[in-house]
Amino acid sequence: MFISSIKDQTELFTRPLKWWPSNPHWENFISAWDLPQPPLLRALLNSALVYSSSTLLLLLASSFTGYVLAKYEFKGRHGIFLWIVSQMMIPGFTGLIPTFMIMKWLGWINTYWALIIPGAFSSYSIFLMRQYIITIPDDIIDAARLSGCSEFGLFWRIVLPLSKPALAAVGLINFVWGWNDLIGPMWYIQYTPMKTVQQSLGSLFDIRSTVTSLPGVAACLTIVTVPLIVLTIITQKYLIQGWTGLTYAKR
Amino acid sequence: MRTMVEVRLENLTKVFDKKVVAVDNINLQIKDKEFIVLLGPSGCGKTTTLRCVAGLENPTSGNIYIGDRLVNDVPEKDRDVAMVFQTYALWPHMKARDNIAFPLKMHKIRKAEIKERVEKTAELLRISHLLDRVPGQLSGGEAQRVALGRAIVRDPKVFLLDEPLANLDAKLRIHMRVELRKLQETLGITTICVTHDQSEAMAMADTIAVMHQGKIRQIGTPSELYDRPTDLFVAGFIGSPTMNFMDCTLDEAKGFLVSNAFSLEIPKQLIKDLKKNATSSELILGVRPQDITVHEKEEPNSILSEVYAVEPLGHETIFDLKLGDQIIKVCTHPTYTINLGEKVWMKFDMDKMHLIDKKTEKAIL
Repeated sequence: MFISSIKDQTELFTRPLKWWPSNPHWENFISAWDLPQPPLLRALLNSALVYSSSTLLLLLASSFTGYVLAKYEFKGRHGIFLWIVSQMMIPGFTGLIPTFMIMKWLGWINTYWALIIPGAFSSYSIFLMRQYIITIPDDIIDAARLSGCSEFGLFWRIVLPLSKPALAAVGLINFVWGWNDLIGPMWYIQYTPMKTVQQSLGSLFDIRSTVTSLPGVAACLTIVTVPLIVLTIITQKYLIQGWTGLTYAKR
Repeated sequence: MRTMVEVRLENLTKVFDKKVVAVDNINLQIKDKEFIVLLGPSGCGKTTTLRCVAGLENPTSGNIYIGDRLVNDVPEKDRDVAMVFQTYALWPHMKARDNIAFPLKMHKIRKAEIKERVEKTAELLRISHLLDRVPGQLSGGEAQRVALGRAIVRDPKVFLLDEPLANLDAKLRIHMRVELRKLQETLGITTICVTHDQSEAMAMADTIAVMHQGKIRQIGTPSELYDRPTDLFVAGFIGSPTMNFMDCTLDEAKGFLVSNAFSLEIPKQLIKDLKKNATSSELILGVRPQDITVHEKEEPNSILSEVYAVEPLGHETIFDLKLGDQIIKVCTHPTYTINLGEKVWMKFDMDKMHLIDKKTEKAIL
């Protein structure tokens, strides 16, 4: 994808394929920004706003729910957990129309709430957070409790900081999932300046599209991928801990 | 300055899942500034008792008093107790300094005062140089000191220790039990400590409460428990190596204790006491390995046996002597030698024998 983006149109189709263009066209990356509708920068900012707030909310909601399910004894705790986990068996697309109707009822069509709020609740994320938090020793939480910490303080000061690996893993999955989502934005966002990156890229392949430069399209795709790669590198340290078994590492 | 802090447990019972009785109707009075050890094998309910005092478990029935206050319904954070956990339970994401400061921070104490108190505590425990490390960079002993610091920094009313020495290596453990005791004396805090190690309990405690199957079997000073155990369990649990037990019956007419392996003449007064207090003539004779002497020639009222094994420990030698189908352990001076398989005569110290009713398992005095 990256190599295609610095070729010119004819070189792209030369046989045999060339690994590296004889004359790299870096300027493709400059023109790429204005190719799609809305322009790429605008779309990137839109997506960043929507999916980072949705991910933050998701992390709060799923870690809090996960903590309560993992560490508190109350009637119906197993029932609630089973109910949440069973949601994972329902294919996401079956909920598309009901969700749309709810969003319409709430008047959230053409607002970002329609993307942020449904994206902040995920049974899979709650499940993962619960599985991680359950491995944090009770003693550590009890020790804080005896130190005079409030119940919410236990979550905020002890459980949350100790869950960084799981938060990184869950956050990244959901951010990437949202970033790559086209269906959601297509349903809810029709106003062009508000469209997300995937819609913006989609405009390049629209039948009404006037874009003819394929290397330019490849440049757009490359630009959109970069934030995900950067994010992965930043969270890598925690991701490895978070994914290898999803258990709290002792001391 | 300090107020008197007594801890009182009244008919404390804790049942888990409506069927597992962990603590069974315990009564215990702990005096101000006392160091009490709850001693017992794992699963005897000692940790559950401790957690009830801390407020981490709610008792099924019974009352807990700290000072004069009934604390059954007081949440753990308001009971003013501090606990050191077996695993230390330090917060891995905080530096040692922040771990110690945390309880103060939670009680909204001024920053300058927190700093001062953390440093004073660190000095007392000699961990000033460790304050800027995170728990992952501390050894077991260092982590324990930090955990102790976190507990005492707030000057709590009651100090709870849950198997504080179990995760230390043998050498450090012996060092730390003295230090814990000194620390408690310096601070003068009423302390409840839980352990399964009887030598640890003997070394640290003012008072020991021996627990078994959720019940307190005996409460007393270390020497009381050692010299006058009131039942078979306590007799077997306290002392190392453990007491030798031999089944026997009382032959009243002759004034002898007899079994198929030995017969032993006992004082007249003892026979009288036995007759009065025992439910039957079926008895268990208990003798500590330290209260038996070994002789190479027959002595009056001695018992013939055979050397089965020798354990030279350096400061003493333990002989395993075969008596019938039983092994009797005897502690002797390290210079004393006998060969395997040799015949020897054992003599029991009549004043230090323990006689236990086989049916009730209670000691007969």
